[in-house]
Amino acid sequence: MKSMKALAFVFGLSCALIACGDKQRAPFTWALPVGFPMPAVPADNPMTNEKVQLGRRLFYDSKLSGNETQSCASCHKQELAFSDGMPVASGSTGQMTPRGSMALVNVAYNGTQTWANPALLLLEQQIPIPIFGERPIELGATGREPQILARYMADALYPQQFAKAFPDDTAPISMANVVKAIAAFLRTLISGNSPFDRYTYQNEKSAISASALRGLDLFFTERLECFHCHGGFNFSSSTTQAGAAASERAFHNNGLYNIGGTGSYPPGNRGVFEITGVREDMGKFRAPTLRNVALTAPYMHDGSLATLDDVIDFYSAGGHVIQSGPLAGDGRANPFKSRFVPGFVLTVQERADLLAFLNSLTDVSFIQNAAFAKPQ
Amino acid sequence: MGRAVFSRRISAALTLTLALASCGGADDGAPLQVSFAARLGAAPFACGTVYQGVGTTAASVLVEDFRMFISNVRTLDAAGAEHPVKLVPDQKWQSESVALLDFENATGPCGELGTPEMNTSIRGMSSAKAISGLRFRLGVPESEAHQNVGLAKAPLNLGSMFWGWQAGYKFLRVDFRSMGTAPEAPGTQWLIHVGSTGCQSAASTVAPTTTCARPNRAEVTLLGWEPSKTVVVDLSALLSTANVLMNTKATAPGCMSDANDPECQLVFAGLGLEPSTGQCAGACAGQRLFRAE
Repeated sequence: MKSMKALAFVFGLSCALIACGDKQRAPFTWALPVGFPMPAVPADNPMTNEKVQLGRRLFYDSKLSGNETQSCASCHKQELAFSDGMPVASGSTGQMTPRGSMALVNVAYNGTQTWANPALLLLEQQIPIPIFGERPIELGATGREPQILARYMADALYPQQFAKAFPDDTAPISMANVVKAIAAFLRTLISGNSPFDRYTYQNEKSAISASALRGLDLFFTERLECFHCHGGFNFSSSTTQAGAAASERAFHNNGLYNIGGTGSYPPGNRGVFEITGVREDMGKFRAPTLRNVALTAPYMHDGSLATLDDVIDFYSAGGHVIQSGPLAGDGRANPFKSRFVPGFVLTVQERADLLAFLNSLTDVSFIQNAAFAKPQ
Repeated sequence: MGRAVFSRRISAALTLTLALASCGGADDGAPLQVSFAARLGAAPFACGTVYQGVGTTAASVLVEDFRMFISNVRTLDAAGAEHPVKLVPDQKWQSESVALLDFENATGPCGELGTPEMNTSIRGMSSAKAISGLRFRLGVPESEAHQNVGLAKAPLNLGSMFWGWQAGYKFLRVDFRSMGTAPEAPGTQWLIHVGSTGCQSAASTVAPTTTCARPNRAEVTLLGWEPSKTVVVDLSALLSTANVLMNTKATAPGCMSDANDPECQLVFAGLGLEPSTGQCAGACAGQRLFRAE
């Protein structure tokens, strides 16, 4: 029975290869909401349960900041869909960031990460910025890497957690692996069980009110144009997934500023222009997902609009007019403004309907999901 | 059971696998590539180039997006008989049923919604013996036009080519703005988004269960096309009857497929479509966007 032995050998070899030498590990499975595609995951950082659990602990642990005062969760709070409710954020040494903390909702699907950087395609590229950035200092790890790693090495649990998450590494406790583990955890932060989702994907016809339904239809009209920048299943023009036809990495100038009529935005906060230096990129920012948007006030990259009502006023006007002061200018006439922000007029009922729709994107199960909470 | 038997079995399995892999290959005929080239008049299209002489006012325009879906590709023989071209799925630009042509590369003015990748050809298999013409539909087949963009197979998984379940996909997307010639003619934004309209469902994110009232899928026939020729996609020709310096008040900028929008009536005529029915007017013979060269 040589043939059977040969087959058994081949089969055994395949099993050994699949298990990567660790028979105890259960494969990672995505908890994807109905109607959601598979996220794209970089080949050099595959998802494992061990990595996700390590990343979750690291995310909530202030050992990652130089002075041990802040963790990722300081500015990304689950009850606020992993945003922080502030216009802009304060880092671990008190320096203020120029832009607000973005909500961490469905970041696995982002075409690019952060507010306005076309080069930041992966979470593995984004995460080092708050950890190591010096202008401004956020977690302030630069120069403190040995101390931070020593904290993990001295911990009762981390050495084993790192070893399980990175079984092929001889020295698994490294800043590179900290980044990889947090990226794996962030990819699991998927929200897709809002009343809107239950209506659209789960066939629950009473999940949203008649008003929200009218607001949904308004949202998708060419009159309001909302969906051009907040379209697709993730309500963002910057969306990608496994097997996407092409990379959708959109950025938009929505007319928030137009300093002196030149199209300029406040220095240091000029969107993609800060990266590329190309004039047409002035004031261009990524359109964030609108999922859980009711939880993520204040709005815009600088938190300059306090409420969703203000946001609707702003888009209704087709931009923001600042009458006086150093930022004075008519944002509606910004020469780089998106073609999808022409302005519109809403009746009182239509405004209420649009707000009802935006509120129907709040996913309570996301902010209450124990798997995303601080580990005990 | 000895080694020889095992080898024979392996060999039989291998042969079967090979046979399956090549199954249909012989029937599909030979590879056929249809090459497209976007132009404005004689000038090749590129993002960021200002093109002059567009429309009735010979306006200058800057194009911001230029993409379309093509389906039901057929070649024509000398007698005018149709021979289907089987699209070769590549998990990116074309499935078995539909191909995406993408002439923009996200640079300059195409940067807002564009994608860096481009595709200017359709690749298929044809068993036609003689080819003296090409016919295709500008659009996504009805059976696939109103699905979940997140779960759709490439190339139908791009949000920027999708309205929502109810209206479905944009078959043709050309965004541009005309540049002013004088203070009294300041130029304006045009968005040409052609797709089906009159699609009935409970909400924008619910697929219709009946066909849309106006399908708006132009049928394009290019007599005299042969594989050595290029299909020229000429935006200037499409817009030759339009004044692109203006847009009728209280209508969408350009043409968002509203049959009552005067700009749409011009654009639809240039696609050979009858706006009120969304069907071909006289076999779509009036279409000007495509020609063989």
